[in-house]
Amino acid sequence: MTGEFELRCPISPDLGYIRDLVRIHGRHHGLSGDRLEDLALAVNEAVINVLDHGGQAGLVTARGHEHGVSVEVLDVGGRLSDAHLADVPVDPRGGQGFGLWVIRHLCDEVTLEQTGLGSVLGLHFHGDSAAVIPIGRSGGRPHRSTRTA
Amino acid sequence: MGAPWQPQPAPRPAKAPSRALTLTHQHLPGMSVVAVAGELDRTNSAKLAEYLDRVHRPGDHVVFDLTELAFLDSSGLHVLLARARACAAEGTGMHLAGASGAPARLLTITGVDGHLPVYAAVQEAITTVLAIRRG
Repeated sequence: MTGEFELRCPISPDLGYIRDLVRIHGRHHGLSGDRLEDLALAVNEAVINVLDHGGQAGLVTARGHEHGVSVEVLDVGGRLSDAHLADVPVDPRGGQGFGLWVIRHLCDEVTLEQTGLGSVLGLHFHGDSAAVIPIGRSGGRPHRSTRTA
Repeated sequence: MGAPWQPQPAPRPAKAPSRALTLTHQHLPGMSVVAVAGELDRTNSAKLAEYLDRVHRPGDHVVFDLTELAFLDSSGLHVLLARARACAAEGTGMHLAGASGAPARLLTITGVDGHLPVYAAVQEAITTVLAIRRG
């Protein structure tokens, strides 16, 4: 399909609004249920990262494609590096660094690119029907990961 | 990325979010039970911290009823974990009950559900705390 919709919204502290926009976009491109919420949370965390640790300004760009949905989060601060994405376990007692850890475990693929405008974190979600190889210790993308005890 | 782009403020929605954070509490023997409903994120996590400062009785366990929690992000989780540390320092505990969906997934991914007691339902958490108090 050509002429796909593309979502572009500025980084802003209005996280609920950004999540809603991302959910609409993700749903339109075939994500649903837990995966749609994973997308919303991953983008939420990436935006927080820009606000709290980056340049506090940037752009969220989401687009659908044949494999699912990809969201690029531009941080004009541009301080994000591959080292930040390294597989360093978080301390569940409340240390910092949950954001990127969560992103890495929610997304099917995470990319980082340095551009003239800043660093661009790429959050890639494969469609529900796509065969996906799980990454990380989260054990992939269970459709009902809700635990009850 | 197309044409050169300059940062600018996002347009705000005309109406308030429909899933606003709602906080309620009740005091039971030895525990403060706090129900967190709606969406808990960076925009309102400080509100929860202030609320806890107000309603958490010193020496009480804290039971969080997350049954109606629709969304939880890392900022909200930090507030919960800060309270867990405060409880541990007092010799009590923090208990997370009723989380499902995306909030439950965040607790799992971060390993918090292996570190803090997690319950399917709030009644289960209350029963457990009562048993702890009886020793």
